[in-house]
Amino acid sequence: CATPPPEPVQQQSLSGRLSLRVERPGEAPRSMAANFELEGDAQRGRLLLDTPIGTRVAEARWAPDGAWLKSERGTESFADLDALATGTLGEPVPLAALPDWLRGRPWAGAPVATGATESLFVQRHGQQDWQVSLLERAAGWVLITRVPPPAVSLRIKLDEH
Amino acid sequence: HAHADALDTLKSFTADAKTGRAAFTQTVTSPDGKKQRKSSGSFEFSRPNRFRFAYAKPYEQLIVGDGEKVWLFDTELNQVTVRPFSQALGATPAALLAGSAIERDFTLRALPDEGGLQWAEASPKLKDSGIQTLKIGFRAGGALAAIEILDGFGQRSRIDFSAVENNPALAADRFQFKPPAGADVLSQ
Repeated sequence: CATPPPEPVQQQSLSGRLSLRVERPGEAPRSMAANFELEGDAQRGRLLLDTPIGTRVAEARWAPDGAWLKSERGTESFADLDALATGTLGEPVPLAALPDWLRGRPWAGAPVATGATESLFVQRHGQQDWQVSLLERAAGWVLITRVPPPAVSLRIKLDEH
Repeated sequence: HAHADALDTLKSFTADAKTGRAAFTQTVTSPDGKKQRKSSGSFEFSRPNRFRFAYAKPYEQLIVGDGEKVWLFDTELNQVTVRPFSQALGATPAALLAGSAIERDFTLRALPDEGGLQWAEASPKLKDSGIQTLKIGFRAGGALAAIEILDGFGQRSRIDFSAVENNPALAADRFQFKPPAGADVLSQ
């Protein structure tokens, strides 16, 4: 597989804190929380996860020809960002759509389901429907939940908004 | 000679400072050196392995080490993450500051004085701690001044301490954490 891509083109990066919670019937809920920084867009970008004291937990990079995750387990390569999300989070969390969603707009990669409003819409990603709530984005909140269950919820609080 | 003092200072800090309290500012510099993120708050510790980093700015996050587990609480997200002490990434710097067996856990080396501080380097013997090296700095007279954390990605976090109190009386509950009602508790 190709080596990790060079630095993504510098676009206004997004930073804040994220909390992911996955609930599967009959299983203990799985979870992850971190301070994050997100650069780039759906095609090419980088997601950095840090602890509050400034140590890095993981760095995910993606480009048209693949995705890479660097963590304490070393660098793993994946076919694409969905494979990376499934491989590490156990669920195809739509990381590629985050750059658009966090900037308060639907993701360019899929149509918006009917009945959407500007701040509450559903989009399909990886054969699954994801509801994006931007209702409190003015206060920095973006809430992403998979419909129907098993419930996957991604709560994000942006630093500047 | 001068450099050997840094190790003596660290060893006497570990032996004499049973508890401590200080304000801190933290500057995290990205691996490429282009970005810096600042935060600040208060730090307390009680040997062995009990510590409290209370971040106030830019947002409230609390890290409490109760000796067995490390609790991370984000006030706005109303979320608690708890990990065993050994696996907590934040444990290594805290183990240097509040540990009682630093020679067992770290390879220690005196460094040249710099910025008016005496510096010692501590490399964790635990290989997959995600941290390459730690540096701890002391003011003349042995007061804790700073720590620098270099992680496996090349990211550098510098924590500068001020208003340092040695051996203050600290209530035990400063190092205990009870998740608030309704908080989302994630154990990893």
